[in-house]
Amino acid sequence: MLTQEIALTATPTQTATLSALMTEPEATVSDAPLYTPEAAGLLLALLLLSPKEPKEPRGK
Amino acid sequence: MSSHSAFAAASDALAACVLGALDGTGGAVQLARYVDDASDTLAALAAVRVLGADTFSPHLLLEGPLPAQDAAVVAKAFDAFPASGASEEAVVARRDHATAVLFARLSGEDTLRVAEPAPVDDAGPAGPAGWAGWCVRMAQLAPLATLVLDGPVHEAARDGALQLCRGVSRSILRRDFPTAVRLVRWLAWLHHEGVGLPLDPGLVAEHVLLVGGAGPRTALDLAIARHLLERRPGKGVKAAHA
Repeated sequence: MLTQEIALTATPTQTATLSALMTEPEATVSDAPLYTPEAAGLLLALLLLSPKEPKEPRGK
Repeated sequence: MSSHSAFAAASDALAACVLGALDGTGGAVQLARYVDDASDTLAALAAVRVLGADTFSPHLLLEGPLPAQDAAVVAKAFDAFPASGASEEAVVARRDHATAVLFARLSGEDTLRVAEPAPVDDAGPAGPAGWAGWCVRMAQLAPLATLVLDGPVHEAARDGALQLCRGVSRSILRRDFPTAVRLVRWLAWLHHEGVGLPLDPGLVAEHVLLVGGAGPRTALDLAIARHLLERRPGKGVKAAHA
């Protein structure tokens, strides 16, 4: 069997890589939605600048 | 390809094998064949070390035998990457020790010679890092959340059930699903031990399965958690110190 014939030894860098893979930290940048107060002003501006609602057709 | 990405890819491939064995879609894990067939043998051996105790999860949860040639591969992985004894790598040392304990149990021979790690920073959730930092460390120790193993880390988990639930909620809110799934494993283990939890582990497991089960290693963690949840609490094999 191949795995018994070849003696493999990792370099210190590879061992450090292994340790890093075994101790994965939590994600540093979170993807959570954040409260942004400026967005409220933007939404208000869009609301004010938006065209008027179409009226119900009268008659008929 | 850097060694980091090669090792990570090999770990993902092995995790997919173990996952197949665990959910019954891929037949038994054949570690010897996996390492023989790999183009980069060192990366394959690194994958065995990275998954560590999780490599044995089909044998533990489904109670299958560990063939001699697979046991030889695990010993080979420990030869290629000597077990760390440095105190700053307490997490790695704990994981290696857990692998060695399960290996000794399944193969019947204690040949890995991994020293029991010194209880350096088992400060529990009240330690200097606070519950959030403690939960990150517990997430790194998630492979210990399985049957058979019991030790100081498990004792800390029993004491910190509330903090672990907080940690799960925090990770889900941060959308850090790999960490959340690792902590769900601890909740599943606590549930299996019969510890009362303020958070329903079944619902959390289902939620993270729906929103963020990316990657074979995360999928494997989730599969192990679900196996633990489905087992009747208290039923299981005798515990060993790890």
